[in-house]
Amino acid sequence: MNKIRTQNIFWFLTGCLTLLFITKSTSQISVSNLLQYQVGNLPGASPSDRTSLYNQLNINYLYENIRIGGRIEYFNVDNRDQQYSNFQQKFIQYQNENFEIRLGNFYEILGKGLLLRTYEIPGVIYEETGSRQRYGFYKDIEGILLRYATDHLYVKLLYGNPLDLLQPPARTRNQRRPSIVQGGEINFNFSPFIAPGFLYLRSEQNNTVNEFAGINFNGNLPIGMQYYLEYVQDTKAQDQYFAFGSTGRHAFYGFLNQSFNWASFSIELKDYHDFTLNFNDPPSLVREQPRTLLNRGTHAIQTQDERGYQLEGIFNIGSLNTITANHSRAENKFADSKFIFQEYYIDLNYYITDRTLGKAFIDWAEDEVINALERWTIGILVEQELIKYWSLITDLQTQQFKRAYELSPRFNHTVKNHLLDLTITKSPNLAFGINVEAAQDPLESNTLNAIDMTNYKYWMGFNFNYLYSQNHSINLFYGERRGGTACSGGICYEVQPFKGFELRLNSIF
Amino acid sequence: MKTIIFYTFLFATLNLTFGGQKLPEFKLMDVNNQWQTYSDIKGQQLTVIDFWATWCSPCAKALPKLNTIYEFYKDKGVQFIGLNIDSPRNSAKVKPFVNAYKIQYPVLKDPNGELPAQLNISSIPTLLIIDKNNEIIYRHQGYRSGDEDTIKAEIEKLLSEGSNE
Repeated sequence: MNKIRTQNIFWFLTGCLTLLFITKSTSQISVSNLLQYQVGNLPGASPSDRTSLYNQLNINYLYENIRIGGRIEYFNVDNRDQQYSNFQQKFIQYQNENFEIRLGNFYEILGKGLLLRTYEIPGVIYEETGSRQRYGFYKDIEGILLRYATDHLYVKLLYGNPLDLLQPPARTRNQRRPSIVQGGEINFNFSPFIAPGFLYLRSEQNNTVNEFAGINFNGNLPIGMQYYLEYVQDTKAQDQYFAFGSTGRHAFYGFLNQSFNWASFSIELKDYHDFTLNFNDPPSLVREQPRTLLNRGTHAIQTQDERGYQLEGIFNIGSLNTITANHSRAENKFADSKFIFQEYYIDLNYYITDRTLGKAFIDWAEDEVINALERWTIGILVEQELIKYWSLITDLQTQQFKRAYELSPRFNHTVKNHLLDLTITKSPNLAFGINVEAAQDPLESNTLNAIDMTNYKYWMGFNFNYLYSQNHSINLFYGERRGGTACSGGICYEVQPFKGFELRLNSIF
Repeated sequence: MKTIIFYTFLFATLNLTFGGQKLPEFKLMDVNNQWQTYSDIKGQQLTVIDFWATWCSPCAKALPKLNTIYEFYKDKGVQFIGLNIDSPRNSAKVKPFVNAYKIQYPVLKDPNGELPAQLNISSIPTLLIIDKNNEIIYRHQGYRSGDEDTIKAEIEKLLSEGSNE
């Protein structure tokens, strides 16, 4: 462990405690801690009983209008090259009713994220594939942020270095934060029908400077509709102002929604071209699916070139029951090739009795970018109250799709995925369950050449969750967990498979 | 060294509890894009804040139950606030979702997740109960069937404690 870093952490903690002691009558300190201890490894990797410890400590000190905070991350494993102990975030912030200034690490969005969006997915511990280092899943900016808000005016100004989330802590600061961004947003809110906003951002990396500007409008129409429109583009593309389609470096996003007593609807449109900026995150217009098999197969947005739409309706059938229908479509053009993604989804949430909740969904999708064709997914979930405060949740999902290889049709195959999850819960603080997955997928075991496409691979894991006080929870996992894409909070990322034992402790002090 | 650090973290995690945390004053937009300040909409006795998102299944399961509790206590000095943390990916769906689930209490939007970060909230749904002095006096993580009884009992207990002060 780096001695200087350890000393820094020690002095930071000592400083916090000293501040708390001096100002104890008017200040407060809050701490949260996330600990993950694993005994295990990637399935098939050696040693199978590799131990590792990850800890994330967040400290917030508040004195009147001033807030000081920091995050310390620690990772210890048998390989010394992967170990680290870093002060990953620190900030000081002053805030009053209308004005805020923050120096250090912060998260910010300009507009709907077409130009810039930094974020954190709390509770997610990311394992980077190459280095196998684990760290918190967040993408922040290190710099300065100013905000000013009144009822009619909202201004944001920022300057700093955004974090490249895929660069693990072992890399240098310049590798992890290779660019500088500076810019802001101003929004006017004088009419509920139309509130305009203007955005500007300048980025610099490896002596390359880019400038972007944009405009947005949002409002509520008299008939109850709500709308939002945003268009941003590279300011150098002067001859292509307000370009759409596969020309000009631009991003457009818009939505319209309307609600009635019996149903609510939303429609969204997107048109992105040459807009992969490494610090932006435009809306994907793909339903964020909570069910595992659909979540894992989510269409990943291609900001190099993508346009399309999403439609969703939620229909009320009785006081507690709903039907949700969703359709999304996207088109990508790379060189002379065109790729289509489309999905049709419908689900039903229905209280069969006061003690039985039933959910069912059916989904058809095709994503040519990832070669998943004619994908059908069906799922049923039943939650049954057994005795007072004890419930059994049965979740069954099945999926089938095709992969086709135009140049080598002999490799064409059908993939099948099945999932069964049984969980018993006791209100208010206990849950334990078993999760079983089976897949007939040659890419899971890299056996495409063997053409052994009929074998099933199985995963089984046991989960235990207990809230042992209002502020402390414990999660245990034992077994084998399947890897793949996971999406949470609007962000998708890769999860490494794991076989072994895992302990997670979440604490708030 | 690793073992010492592990047990230190473990011991600290299991045993430490500081005093109650104060809710900072905050200003966020509601689903109709109007600014709302916490002090303007908080309850006279208690305020219940529910952190949720449209993509969170347990959150959706809890919402009708919270609506029922809100209806029962709204005239007894208890305010409910829904705090939606959907990112821009789902922002178009927040108002339709609120209308479809017929949420009766104010719903504010925090797409940056700043308030949950300040309050050390790492999972949703999380429900907080705040007293009239803005102190967080109860915290509930997750939603399991039957949790509504626990929440209701807690509100009842806190109201009776408040009336005895």
